[in-house]
Amino acid sequence: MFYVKTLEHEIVLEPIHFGPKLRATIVNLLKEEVEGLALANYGYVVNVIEVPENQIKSGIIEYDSGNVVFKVKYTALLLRPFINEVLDATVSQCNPLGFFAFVGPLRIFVSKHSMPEDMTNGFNNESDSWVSDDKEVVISSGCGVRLKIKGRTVEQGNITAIGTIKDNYLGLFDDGSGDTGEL
Amino acid sequence: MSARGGKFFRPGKFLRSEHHDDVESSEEEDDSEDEEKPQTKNASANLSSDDDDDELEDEDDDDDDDVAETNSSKRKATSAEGGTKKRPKTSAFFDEEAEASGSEDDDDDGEAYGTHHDPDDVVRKHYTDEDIRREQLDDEARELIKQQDRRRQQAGQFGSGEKSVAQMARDIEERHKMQRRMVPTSHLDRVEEEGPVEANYSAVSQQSLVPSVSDPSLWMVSCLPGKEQDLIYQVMNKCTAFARRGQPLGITSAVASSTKGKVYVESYSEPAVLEAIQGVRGLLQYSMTLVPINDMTTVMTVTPKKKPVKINEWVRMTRGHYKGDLALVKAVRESGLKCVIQCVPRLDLTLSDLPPEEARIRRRTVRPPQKFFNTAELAALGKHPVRQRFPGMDFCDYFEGNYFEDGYMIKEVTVGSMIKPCTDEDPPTLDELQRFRRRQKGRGDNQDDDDGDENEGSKMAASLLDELSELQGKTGLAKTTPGGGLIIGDTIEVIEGDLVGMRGKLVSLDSNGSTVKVKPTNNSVDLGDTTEVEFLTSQVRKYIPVGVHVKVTDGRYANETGVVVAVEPLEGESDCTAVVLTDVTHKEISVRTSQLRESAEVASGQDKLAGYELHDLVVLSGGGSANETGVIVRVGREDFTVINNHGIVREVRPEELRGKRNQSSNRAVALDVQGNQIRCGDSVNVAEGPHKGKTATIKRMSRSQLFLYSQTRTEHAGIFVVRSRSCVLAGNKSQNRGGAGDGGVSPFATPRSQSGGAGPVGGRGKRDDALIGKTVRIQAGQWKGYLGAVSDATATHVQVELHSRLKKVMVVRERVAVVGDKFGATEDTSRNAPAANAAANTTEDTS
Repeated sequence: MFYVKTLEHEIVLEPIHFGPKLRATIVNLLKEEVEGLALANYGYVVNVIEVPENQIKSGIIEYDSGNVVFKVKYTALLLRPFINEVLDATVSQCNPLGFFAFVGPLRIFVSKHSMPEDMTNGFNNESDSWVSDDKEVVISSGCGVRLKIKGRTVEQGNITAIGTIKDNYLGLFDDGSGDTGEL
Repeated sequence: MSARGGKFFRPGKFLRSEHHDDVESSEEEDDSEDEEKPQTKNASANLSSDDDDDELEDEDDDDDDDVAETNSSKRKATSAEGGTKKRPKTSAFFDEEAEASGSEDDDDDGEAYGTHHDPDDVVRKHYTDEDIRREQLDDEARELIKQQDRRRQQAGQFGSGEKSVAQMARDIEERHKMQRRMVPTSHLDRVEEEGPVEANYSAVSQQSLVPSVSDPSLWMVSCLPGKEQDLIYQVMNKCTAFARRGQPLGITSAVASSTKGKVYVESYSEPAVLEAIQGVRGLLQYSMTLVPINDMTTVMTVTPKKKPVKINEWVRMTRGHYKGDLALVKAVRESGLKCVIQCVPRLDLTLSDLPPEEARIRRRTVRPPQKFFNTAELAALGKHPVRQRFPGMDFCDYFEGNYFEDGYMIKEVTVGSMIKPCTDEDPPTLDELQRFRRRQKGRGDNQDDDDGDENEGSKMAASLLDELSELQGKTGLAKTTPGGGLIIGDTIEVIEGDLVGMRGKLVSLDSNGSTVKVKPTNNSVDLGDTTEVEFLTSQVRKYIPVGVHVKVTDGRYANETGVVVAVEPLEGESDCTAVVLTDVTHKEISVRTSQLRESAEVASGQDKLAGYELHDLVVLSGGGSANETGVIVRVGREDFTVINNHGIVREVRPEELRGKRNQSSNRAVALDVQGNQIRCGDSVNVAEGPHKGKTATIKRMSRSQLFLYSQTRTEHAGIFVVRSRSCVLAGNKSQNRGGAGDGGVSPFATPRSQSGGAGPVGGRGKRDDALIGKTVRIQAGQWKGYLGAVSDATATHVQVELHSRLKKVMVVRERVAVVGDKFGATEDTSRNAPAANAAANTTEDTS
């Protein structure tokens, strides 16, 4: 789920950056440091929306290095997977154990155990795709699937999730050819 | 020893007289000095000892058959002597008892008597030893001993005052518990039937029984093989005869143990042994050798009878490539000396194609993997086995001197040297049995899984396998810690009772593990104010939801970590099976939820074998080509799966690995298709080849081969092999992409093409930063041939900091050639030239 939240971040600046463009530097640096990062409790920072410059407080000089620490408040667009959340994802890779799908930066693994019964044995080695027993559904890389998040793992700066397509209204909705059949 | 000995050795009359005829009298004096006991007692003791001897001889005749008996009888003789001699000292009471018992049948003796003999062994032990010492003893020393004795008597450990027989017996027992070393001999004598006193002896106390320097030495004497026991009887008779004559031999025992053609004589002094064996025909006196103390136990070790191999028994091979392999006995030949075994062959089919010299080396060094014999496979190689009758059995395939039946090798081997039976300590393992079992499916799909067709040995393996796995399943269940592996803090689910389905955190566990306290977490049930609910452990189970990261705590996959991808309830069981996708090896494993614990840790279960770990860069031996390297992609129980530098996966044993190269891999630098430096840990995109389009991290590198690791790949633990020139460094690390206006020429190609004079010079108006830091060789001018690092560069010149001189020189760009990067890593320029040009071309195309 995407949401906007105001967060705080500490920026350490070397004295070389002090000058008329200080605030701009801070904003740039903040974006560089924070965007794309996964914060354990908030999810991926997709975009830094706004850094109110009046909110940048005066920094504190570190006595041993001369660097200055600024505490910066910013509003960011966050992507956080919630358990049981339903998402549309793009399949990136299929392997005999399941497939990987991406929602923006978030990687979701769907195991073959989390696929409908008619697909669990349907891995096609030649085309690297998951095929249902009646050959109607073919999930290969590039497809769009609707899946439900069942669990997530938070690592340092990274979040991965486990999803399922074994439920009503879940599964393939875009075969990657461009025309969306269902939607 | 002597402190205690002072009390016991006194009566050693016989032995002493052996050396000194006149000691008899002095000994009498000695006794009279030592003891306050009446002299008459002593005399009577001596008399009774004679009686003892007579009787003992009779008894000896009775049980002449057994060697062990012989020894014990001999001991009896000496001990009896000692015993009677010793008595005066202990108490008047014992003396009378001794005389009385002396006339009784020995076997009827009560415990008190039996135990009474033991200290006499102690006495005997000091005989000769003391003997020698006493020869030199002067009156002064004797006086000292006397004093000590008196003191001890007053202290009254025993002996002073009239104690009850039971008390006495206890005392003695106490005492020889301390002198354990002597106990076994006494047991040989009498206590044997009476009760397991030795049951008290633990392994530690057993250790204290091991002979030391203070014990009699052992001499080995050769004799005619087969005559050992007879000769021992002779020695024994001689011993008793001499004892009766009043000149006992100074030996403490003589044994014929299981060794053929050797007898052993135990004594404190060598001359005593010499005397004992002198004149005994058949004993080769000159061959007498002292047995080192360390070897003394081996002499007496009873080797368990060799279990004969039987049909359908599991054995292990002991020689050659097959060493340690499991085999099944099919037939026993030559009354158990040889047997026919069935085992999984280890054939090396490549051998016959190699030149003899290489084949010989390979045969010695490479252990072929276990693989069932397959005629079709051989036919494909142009080899055809012959049908031939195995001696005494049915027709088999005959190939290169071996017989094969149903894929197994049939071989006649000698028992003992070629095979040994599987002992209880070393039973066939599940793994081995699985390998031994030949699955019918392997033969071809058209063949049904028909039991009747399955090889008998395979069936045996299968049945044992079932048995074992059943057993393991049971123990696996029984082994789970009380409460199904519940730990405080676990999330649990109620599976029984009114609150079925409720989940909560485990707050506390009962000490005996029968009840648990749970703090509910989901508010589906209104519990009022109660914050903790108590359940029986049987009512709850560990709750492992799909998607959590877990660690396996128990069982086969212990210490693996991964993500739960599915949870399936087990029929008839309280806990579920969870399918876990492992972190490192990317495979699915099925584990009981009771064996799982939520954890953020990342590890792989079995990741070490013989010092090698998963993803190690290793040097492989064998396989013909030297310097074959590979990366370990699976660590098995006893072998590895390795992907080598050509991307070929094979199984190797730890012996075949020749060390790790992780360090050099971490130091190594390679160049990608654009000439960027790439090293371990960098992320690259594969630009060409079968893996085109993939993005992966460099795990290891060996020369120009990169072992890339991708988290999304499941096969080979995510490792695949790509040439460094087929990759492009990913991310913003690449220095040269979109370099303004210089045509995207790789920094590497630049100076070369210029020095060659053929490259396009145009478009290079700018300072080429990429050259800075590179190691260059100056090609013309005053500094021709010098190596240096480029410290600065202008459009026309470069400043080179010479390696060999403390100097910076300006050189025209055209006159330097890059020979390496700033780390000094050198590249084979001749090889790089075309590649670099190609790279230049490709980048030119894209720009």
